[in-house]
Parts: sequence; C-alpha cells; structure tokens
Amino acid sequence: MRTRADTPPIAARRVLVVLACSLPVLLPAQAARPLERSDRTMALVTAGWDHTVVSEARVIVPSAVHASGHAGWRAPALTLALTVPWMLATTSGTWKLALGVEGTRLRGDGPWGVQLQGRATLTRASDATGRRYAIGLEMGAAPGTHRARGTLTADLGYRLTLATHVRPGASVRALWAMRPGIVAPDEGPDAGWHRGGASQLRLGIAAARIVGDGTLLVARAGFAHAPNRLGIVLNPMLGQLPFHATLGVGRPW
Amino acid sequence: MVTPRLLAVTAVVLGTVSWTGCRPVLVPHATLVPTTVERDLRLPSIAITVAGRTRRVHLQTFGDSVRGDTVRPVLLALHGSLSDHRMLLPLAALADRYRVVLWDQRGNGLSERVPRDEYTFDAVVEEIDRIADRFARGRPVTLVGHSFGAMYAALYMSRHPARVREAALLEPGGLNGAIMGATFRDVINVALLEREVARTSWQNEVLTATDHDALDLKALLVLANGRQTNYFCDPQRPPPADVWRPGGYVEYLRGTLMGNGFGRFRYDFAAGLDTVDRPVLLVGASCSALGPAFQRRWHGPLFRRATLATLTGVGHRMLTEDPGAVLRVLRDFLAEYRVAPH
Repeated sequence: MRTRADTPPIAARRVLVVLACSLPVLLPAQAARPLERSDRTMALVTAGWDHTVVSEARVIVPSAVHASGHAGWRAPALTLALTVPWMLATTSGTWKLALGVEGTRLRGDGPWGVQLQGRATLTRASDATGRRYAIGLEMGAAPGTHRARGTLTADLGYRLTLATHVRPGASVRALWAMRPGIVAPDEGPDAGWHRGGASQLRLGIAAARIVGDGTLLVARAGFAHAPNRLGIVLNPMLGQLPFHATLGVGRPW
Repeated sequence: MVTPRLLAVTAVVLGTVSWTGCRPVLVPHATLVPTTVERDLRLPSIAITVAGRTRRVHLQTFGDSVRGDTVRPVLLALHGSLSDHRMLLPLAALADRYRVVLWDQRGNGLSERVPRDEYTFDAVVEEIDRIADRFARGRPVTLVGHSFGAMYAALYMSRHPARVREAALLEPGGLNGAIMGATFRDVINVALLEREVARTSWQNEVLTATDHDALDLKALLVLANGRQTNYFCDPQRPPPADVWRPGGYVEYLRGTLMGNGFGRFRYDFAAGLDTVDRPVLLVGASCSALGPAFQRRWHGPLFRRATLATLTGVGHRMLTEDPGAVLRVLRDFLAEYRVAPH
C-alpha cells in the first residue's frame, strides 16, 4: 500500500518527466561517433531556398572537448556563417551573419541522438522602405541517427528576431505628407527599434553524408511557418512561402 | 580547436543577446507607418456599420451638397488595391458639378483595420451602400473606380443597379474569375527570382508581417516594384504610388476570396451587368496590360452601354501620371458635364 510519502510531489514528478524525456539527449555516448568532421575544421557552403534563393558560407571549428576524449557532448563546435541572397548579393548590402555553437548528444552505443545548435544572428536588409538591422536567435534540434559517415534526422528549428532597428526611407517618409486635417510638417516616421520583428518555425528532414576523402554533403528541406498575429499569410509577396530547401557541400582541413 | 572556455563564452554571449532583446530597453520604438483614424482623431472620418461592426473610415468630401435650389449629385470614388483615396485626390476637381466623396475603404489607407470575418465581397457592397446612404440619401450615385475600385464599382452596380446613375471604370482587372484566369499572367509577373521580389522576401528575415503596421510597410515594397505588374511605361522607374498607407491584410484577404491559387479564380462581379441600362465608361491606359485592348476585348461585352476611352503615354497609375487627361475623359462622359451648369 502506497503512503502519501511514497508519492513524489508534483514538482518532483515534473522533473522526472523532463529527465525521462531528455534521456536520449542526456545519456552519454559510448562508442558511436558523429560525423568525422567533428575532428577537423570544416568549411561548408550551402545554397537553396530560404525566404529567397540564398547561399550560406559556414566555418565549423570543432571543440577540444571531443578531441581530448571527454565524455558527454560529441562534436561540439563553434560556427560562423554568412548568408547572402543571390539576387541581392551585389547590390544592396543584404546579408545575415551568425555566430553559434552546436553539438551532438548520442544515446548509449547506438546511433540515435540529437544535434543541438544555437546561433546569434545579425541581419541587414536594405530596400525602398529603408534600412534595417535585426538581432536574433536561431535554435535547432536534429534528432535522429548520427553515424560516423552520415546522419539522417528530423530538422526542427525556431528563428526569432529579438529586435530590429528600422531607419525609414524616403518612400516611408512620404506617407506622412498631405494627410488631411493635419498641419504638422515635423511629423514622420521615427528611426528606432521594433521589438520581436520576425519569427519562423521549421519542421523538416536533414541528411548528411561523408564521401571520399572527407567531403561532406548535406541536404535539408521542410516546412517553414511564420507565426503571425494576423493568421497565416501565405501570399508570397506579403507573407512567406511555407517551405525551405537547401543543399550543401563541405570540406575539412 | 575551440576550447571549452570559448564555448562557454559563446553561450554566455548568446544568452546576453537573448536577455537584452527581451528587455524593454530598446527605445525609441520605430514608427513604421502613419496611424489610422481611430488612433489619430485629427483625421477626418465617419463611423459606418458593416458586417455587424462599426468602424471608422477616413473620408473627405468636396463640393457642396446643395447648390442654389439644386441638390448636387453624389460621386463616390473607389480606390484600388494597396491604395487609398490619396491617389484619387485629383477627382476633387469634379466638385464643380458633383459632391465628390473620397474615402479609404475599410482596412485600407488611414481607415480602421478589419479582421478576416469582416472582409467579404458582400461586406464591400455593404460598405459602398453605407457611404451612398449617408451622402446620397436614396438618390442614384455616380461611381468612379480605379483598378480594384473599378471592379468593386462594377460589383456594386451588378448588385444594386437602381442605385447607380453612371459609372466610370478606370482600368478594372478581370471582372470575373474566367477573365482573371485567362489574363492573369499577362498582367501579373510571378517571378520569385526577380530582384525586387527577393528584397520583399528577404524582409521576412528582419520584419515578419506580424501586425498591420509591419504588413503595410511590407506592402509598400510591392508598390515600389514596377516589374511585378505589366502596368507601366517604364517598369524600371514606375510612377510614385500616391498613398498614405497600403492595406496589406485586406489585400491578402481579397486574394483568398478571389481564389488566387494556381490560376483558378472564383468570383463574379459582372453578373447581370449586361441587362443594366446605365452608361458605363471604360478607361484604358496605353502602357498598361489593363489598357484599351484589354478593356475592349474582355469587359466591353459585359455591359449594355459601355464606351471606351484611351489615355496615351500613361500607365495604370494614370491619376498620378496625367490627372488632367483622366479628368478630360471623365468630363466628356459624366452626365453633369453634358448639361448646362446649375
């Protein structure tokens, strides 16, 4: 017969549930080893559709944690990436710079595990309505199989623009002109910060494969949804197209 | 190699950025677009009840309601998509014969924004009816519409022919789904790899259209792209869009109502118009894909008494490009200019 003292309090039960759900992530890996690139610095170039046609150049610098044989995280690394939209590469100073960390947790001896990554981003956009700089975060999780020569995982991600600095252009300033009943020539748009400017949820699949002498091939694709207080706006002009797809190739050195 | 210490430092930086971004220390807040009438009481407006909800619309009238012993006929002007009545201000010159009523349709310009359940084509007809009731008090009105406003004018005339005295339609797009489907690719350029479209798409990285302000700002980018529509004499340098604030959300809703997916459109703004015995003027601009050839071929047969006027050397934004030419063809057509002044 169970007594009251045998029943864990609610808070403790919640902790147990969280721990249980985290087992695939938290269990230390024994024998399996994620992609070989974990041992060497990797340069990776990807291209595909992500809002528009973009290319990303990424450098992945592995951590000494794995190389020195520490238990726990596999392939922890520092990443630095630059993303540029193809059609705007030469014209408008439009880009995204990302700095982050990534690493893989494996479950026991098998290939199952999850790669986690987090990146801080600085994004610039320039167009007829003005110039904008956004700071944000990108978080990703790739649960699935992580083997030495390849991975096949789900691809979960969340992007959040924390704040965007907006500097209005002439076409925006013109909106304030000629408003009936208002004689206020000094009124107009203010440059400043706009909070929580953008976000995107991603759900897809990702695969990576080491071929030949260490060349890494990567592919990812899936749905992309922008949470929006107005509802889903799929219009390609006013909203977003709800997918992303990229291919890439990397080389270690 | 990256050391554990460097990884820890990076994690701290990420956390700090996150924490900072979530704190209310980022002032001043950016102003993206002008405020609408319910938040700026200096703007002229009236309240109308449509689809069961009372909303304020930004509205101006020009001309007296009564001149001498005569009640002035009322002319209602309807602006197009991603627009407002700023583009129609040249029509105020018609106030010498008409009482001209210009307003920003609900969800557009400086009028109050509306949610999805308040924006249907029935509600659009109801809105025009509320404005007509308010100013014409049961007498038939003259309608002048531009672009989508011309399509709505046709819709109103098809639903309430007795309430319309005459209508001038400045480059309406396809008045039913069949015409829109047949002509869509002649009018609209769907080019996701085009540079200006890429600018619009890239904006999602920094400013998702999470609210009306951000959505309307993004709609400005659509207006600035002269190559997205075959409307202009020089697509590289389209004429300015005279607008106070485009209504991005109703533009999106309108698309869903029309059924704009994969070339299939389901709407009919022209039902029964061929039986309506009212004079109709179709106006086409020579540089526009919605120009005279389009109007003659697709829309002429829909009306019982339609005439066509051609504007040369201008595009779809004719009221900005050559307002004098537009006023000339309107004065040649409108009934009040064909009688002696009161």
